[in-house]
Amino acid sequence: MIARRFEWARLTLRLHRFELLAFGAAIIGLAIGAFVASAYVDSVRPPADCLTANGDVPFSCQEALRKVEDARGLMGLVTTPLLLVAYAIGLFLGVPVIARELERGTVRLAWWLAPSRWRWYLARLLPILVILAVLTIVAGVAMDRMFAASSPNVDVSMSFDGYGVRGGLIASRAIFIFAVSVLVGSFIGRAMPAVIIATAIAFFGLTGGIQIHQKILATEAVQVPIDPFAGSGGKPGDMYIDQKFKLPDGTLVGYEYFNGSDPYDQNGQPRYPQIALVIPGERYRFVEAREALALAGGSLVALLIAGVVVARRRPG
Amino acid sequence: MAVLETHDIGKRYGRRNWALRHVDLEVPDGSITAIVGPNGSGKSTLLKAWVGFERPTEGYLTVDGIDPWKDRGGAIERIGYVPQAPSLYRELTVDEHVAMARTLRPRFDPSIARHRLDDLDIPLDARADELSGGQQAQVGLALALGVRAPVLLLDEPLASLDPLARREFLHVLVDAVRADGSTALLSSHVITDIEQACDRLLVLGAGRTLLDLSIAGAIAEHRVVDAADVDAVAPPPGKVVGSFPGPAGEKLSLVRGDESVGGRPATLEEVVLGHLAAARRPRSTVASGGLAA
Repeated sequence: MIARRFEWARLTLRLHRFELLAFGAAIIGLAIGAFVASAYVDSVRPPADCLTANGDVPFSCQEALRKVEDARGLMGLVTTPLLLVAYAIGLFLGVPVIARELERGTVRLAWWLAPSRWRWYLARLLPILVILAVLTIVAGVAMDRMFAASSPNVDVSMSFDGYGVRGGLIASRAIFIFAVSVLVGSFIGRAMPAVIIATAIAFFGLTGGIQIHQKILATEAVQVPIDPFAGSGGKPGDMYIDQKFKLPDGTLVGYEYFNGSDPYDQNGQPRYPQIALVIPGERYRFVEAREALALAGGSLVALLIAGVVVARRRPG
Repeated sequence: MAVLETHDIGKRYGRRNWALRHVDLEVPDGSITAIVGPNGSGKSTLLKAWVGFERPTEGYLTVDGIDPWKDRGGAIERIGYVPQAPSLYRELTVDEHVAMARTLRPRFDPSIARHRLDDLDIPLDARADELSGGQQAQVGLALALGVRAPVLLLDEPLASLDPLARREFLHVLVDAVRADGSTALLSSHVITDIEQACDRLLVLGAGRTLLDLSIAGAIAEHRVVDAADVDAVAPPPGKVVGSFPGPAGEKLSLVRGDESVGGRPATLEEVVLGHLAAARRPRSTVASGGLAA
């Protein structure tokens, strides 16, 4: 009875069997690789006094640190492919949802059978979307795990290190790419051109979105005095936004304010106090959730427009 | 009563290419109507407009009183459609197509489709890309019959089939339509198939209706004379429909009228050829407009 109730989902998954199996196997394989590599890094972690060693590495630590470097190299083999596959799956699952059906003419069968094209569209979309979300969340968790293993002293939930290449944002960005691919496919109706155009639109959409988010973050940054001797501001895990000079009246200015004159005195010390603008690491979850929500909104709009296109267009 | 109607519809592609223009026609309930015309005459466009795949540029049409562009779902629920190409999913088996139809169309009866496919020895577990063209067309027809719709629209489903497959297809179609009391509109180029299966003839040419009659009426109301004899026979003005080459290359003319106009009774093919030839001439020289029953 249940199998019959979800027959529509089974048939949709069957239509996309090749892409699902190929990308699913790739992500799961890479995620397993990530967890194995992370466990290996954990297992070869040297004693704490080796990690804090500054400058000269004690002889007793050299072998342990070499092993850590080897293990990190192993993680590097997984990191880039995992990210690439996580984004590629959005593209290669999104385009066929409508474009391939239009290209092969199968919509002529489906659309005369279906009194509601919206229903057909949702039946095609939802099973793929669920699988995509699960796979890319797995990729995000695997990246989080690798990050935690390579930075054992950092709380990954309160650090902007690796922002955007780990955690839930991987899934959000992959779903955004998926939505753009579905939309482009619904307009163009041919798979290969849709892949190319969707790649370009998703790239510019994501990079444009990141730029806008950076501008929003700049308005939310907090000022942290820079220690002129230590040369850094903020704590590990904070997101660095910018560095400014603080005038006596409290105005923040950049190097351009000095108009060619040296902002540093003859001792190399700044004429005015320097501050760093940072987003505290404690805000990581909030910032991540906000970007994910914005991407989800963009994805929803793209998918709704694709639905309108499906409802109105000729089957070709 | 007409279950399919068009009201002065026109369909334009681009800025000036009219596929259909000022087409008014009615397909009576319970009939099997053949729609014939040369390539580009607007047959497919007309059928697609009824399915809601094409929007008329002017006028409107209805399926059982419903305008597909105002209520596509309502119109589609009254239609079974067999597209020109079978359009099957090559990844799916025949049985999965039946299952898919059930998920998409609430009234679809899988047992009807499976029964017809069984009768034709089409394996349900075969993938669509393993079937012959004739078998794919039969799957398309079985799905169309399975929806139990009062109207069947068939867009040149016979075009790529061999003679035996065509005969089997038409046999299934006629049996089903007669048993269900539904109405079918079959687009085809093959006149012998039409004579075998249909009871009405609709000829489209140059984007308009050239003939709309029962098959028997179309044959009874036309005669063929050797074009060279037309002057001798001197049929009344406006009775010559059009001239076309005969089997031996002789020039024949289709004349509207009974035995008094001379010549011999026309075959259905000659009726169609005469009207299509008339449509090729500049419109002002066509003997008369369409002939409608």
